[in-house]
Amino acid sequence: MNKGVFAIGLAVTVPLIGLLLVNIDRDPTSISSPLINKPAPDVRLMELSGGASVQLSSLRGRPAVVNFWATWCIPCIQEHASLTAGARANPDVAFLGVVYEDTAENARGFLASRGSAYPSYSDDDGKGAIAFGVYGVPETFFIDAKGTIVEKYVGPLDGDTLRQKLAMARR
Amino acid sequence: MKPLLRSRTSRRLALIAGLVAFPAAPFLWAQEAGQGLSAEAKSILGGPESGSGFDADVIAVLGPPEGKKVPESAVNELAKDIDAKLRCPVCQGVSIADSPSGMATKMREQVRGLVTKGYSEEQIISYFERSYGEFVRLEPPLRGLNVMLWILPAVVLLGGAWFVFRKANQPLAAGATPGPAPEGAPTPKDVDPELAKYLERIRRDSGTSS
Repeated sequence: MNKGVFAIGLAVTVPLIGLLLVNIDRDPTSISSPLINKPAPDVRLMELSGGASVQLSSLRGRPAVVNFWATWCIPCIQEHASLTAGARANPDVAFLGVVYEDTAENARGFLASRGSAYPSYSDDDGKGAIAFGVYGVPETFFIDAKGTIVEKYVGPLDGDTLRQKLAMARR
Repeated sequence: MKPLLRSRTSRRLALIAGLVAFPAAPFLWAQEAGQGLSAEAKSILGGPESGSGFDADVIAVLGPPEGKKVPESAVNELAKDIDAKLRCPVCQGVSIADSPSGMATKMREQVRGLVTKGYSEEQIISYFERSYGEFVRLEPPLRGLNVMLWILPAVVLLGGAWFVFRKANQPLAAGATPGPAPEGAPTPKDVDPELAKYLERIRRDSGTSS
């Protein structure tokens, strides 16, 4: 075989194999949020129980946890107890649930039967989910007292992870 | 033989149907869950016009509208153009114009709302880009490393064409003789005399004539 052809073959395949090895652990579905270290979207959300609404920017001054969830989402059911316990243990942090692709009725029924420690809001027109760049549920955003998103967590939260992320939001 | 073939075919069909249905199932499920808001819930939340106040966020991100005021009749057309350029975040490589998912439907509504308010196409796309990143653009912009996406295929194609062309036109090296007929190739005496002349001709044309 011609040495030149061999060299060209190496020059093409070696970087490709390198690229594969470097990225082999990467989850192709996880895309880091461009919102990290950016101001949280200033959306207005309607409380599930009706009436009251909240403008997200009004929460500035204390850390906040915004959790997108749905009653049809199994991991959301898994993390519900951790979030409820977390909200009770951290009264200085504003916890908010935002219902994603689900009815207010379903969400109210879910919270009535499983208990809740913080308000959940409906996002009927999806503007909240769109503004936060939500891909699916559960997704949880940790916001510091200045209103900056410090962390986005995809998947069910457990108590330890929640504590660790809260520490980041408190910093 | 026949029943086996039939069952294999049907098994294959079932497998294909299963593979198609499996990834679609959660999606269909989500679809169903997102639909059919009760009238009561709708009255609490207000119609799309009362909006759950995205304006503060849109203004914070985009500022005032920069596009021309669009006449009512052109809103749909313009919104559709923008929909085709935005990637549906819950789908696989599909624009929001082409997706029936709940999320895409809501994004389309929002695009329409922003067009109506007079936001330009670039402003609207950049609003979604703020939350989803460049990923939300179905066609990556021609800048930075993305330029390679456009240039590399052309370079590879032209390079390949050049290589093939050069090889095809390469004269035989000086002193090189066409190789002998491969081992086991039929010799004239094995061949039907009627066909021998054709074999000879083939050999002559391909340069393996002895």
